[in-house]
Amino acid sequence: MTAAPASPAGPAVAVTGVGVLAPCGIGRDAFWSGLHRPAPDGTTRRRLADFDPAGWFDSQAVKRVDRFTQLAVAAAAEAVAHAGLDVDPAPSERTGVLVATGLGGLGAHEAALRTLDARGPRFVSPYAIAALMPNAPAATVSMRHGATGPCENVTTGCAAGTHAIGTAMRWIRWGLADVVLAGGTESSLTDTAIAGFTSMTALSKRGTSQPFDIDRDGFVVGEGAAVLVLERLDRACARGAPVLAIVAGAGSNADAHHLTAPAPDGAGAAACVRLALADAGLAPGDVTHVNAHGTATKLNDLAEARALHAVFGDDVPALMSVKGVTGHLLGAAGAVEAAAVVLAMGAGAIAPTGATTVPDPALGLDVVHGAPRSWTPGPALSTSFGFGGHNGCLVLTPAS
Amino acid sequence: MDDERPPVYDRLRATVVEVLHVDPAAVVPEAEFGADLDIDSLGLVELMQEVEDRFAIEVTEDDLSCIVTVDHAREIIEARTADRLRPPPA
Repeated sequence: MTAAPASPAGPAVAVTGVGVLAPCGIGRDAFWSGLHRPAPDGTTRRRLADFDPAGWFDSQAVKRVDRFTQLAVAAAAEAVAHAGLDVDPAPSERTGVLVATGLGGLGAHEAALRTLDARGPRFVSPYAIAALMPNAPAATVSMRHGATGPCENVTTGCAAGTHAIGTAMRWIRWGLADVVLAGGTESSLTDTAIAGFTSMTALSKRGTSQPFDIDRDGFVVGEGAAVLVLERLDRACARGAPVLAIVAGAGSNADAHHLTAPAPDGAGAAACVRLALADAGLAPGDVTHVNAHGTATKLNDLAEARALHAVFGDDVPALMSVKGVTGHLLGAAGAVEAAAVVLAMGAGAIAPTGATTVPDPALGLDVVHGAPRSWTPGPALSTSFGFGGHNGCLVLTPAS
Repeated sequence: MDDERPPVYDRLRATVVEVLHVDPAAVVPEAEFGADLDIDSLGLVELMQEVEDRFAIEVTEDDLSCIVTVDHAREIIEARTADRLRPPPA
């Protein structure tokens, strides 16, 4: 058996701010409340209700940015204000940005195609490329906050949001930045995307999202964004910032199996969990909660259950999936889920897995559903397994 | 100074306001797109795409590079309109 890598030396990394936009609520408090309300039903598209970009873009600028960039900017603004970095910013060259996405500016891309077909190439907007490019959110966030440290984006499908936070943690450990605005954004509710997911038979025919439920039949697609402010812990403490959680470890690996299906034995996923735990210097028995990938497809939830049992044996910690309420936020999912873990620590409770009523006994998991469960915050694992076999895990621990 | 505006200017002014969302009061013939209206090169392209459509003309990249003020844009529109209306060589 291969020895797990030693936990690397490097400064501890704190979460000092959270910003979230999700179908169940715009803003982190509304998102947390929304996780506790009944899940919407009967639709394979979960949109943000009442998002008005005018708060962040004037009437000229708003036409030139795709919605996925608008959401990222709003999430970053909330997180930065939460962290108090709007009034007390870090040096610009020590502030990085890492924003993930799954499918990029699909809306802008499709609009350009329609213009091309209807009016010809001369009428394709000069802003089309800048609007659809997957790095637009990261770039725009860096511009809004004057961040001239590393500014990159991650596009590893459904694992991208988790990977963004893990990599941002490493940037800080390696001394590349002291603060990183890290997260993910997605707004891919176009007819083309939904048609594509439908043809793959990935979506629920009923328009419900019931992670780990005995009757689960696929996912629904949501839009949203989350940004976390990651900051060197010593710096956060020195300036009296709120320390909401510690990003203790991260893991990243690949199934090398299939472009859309997870490896059925969950071996790659299990290895990823072990990598993250080793990075955090923790053992499986230390974990008190799992925020699962939990897409509500037959395949994912089964493979994920196998992976978790491989690591935890029979005692998989209490788990939930936000996807029961928000739907699958693709490139934003991992970031929204990390935010949910941080908020759960603050609330001392695990939110219920919306729409799940009968956890599948074959999976052998303790799925929090029906009502929130009181929780004494402890080390928590967040898992994400993306199309293409990209696995990403985070270990978050409470601020001591 | 003759302050009667030809129709081309009025239509151009309306297009500038609609497409670029600038303050109508700022759109005067001598206003510079860059310095006065805060419109960059991409914004100018966006404007002239709509101008091409509304005036049924074609504007070249060389034309674009000549446009500094609103009045320059008007000149280009009138010149390209004249090109379109000129009878073809016999």
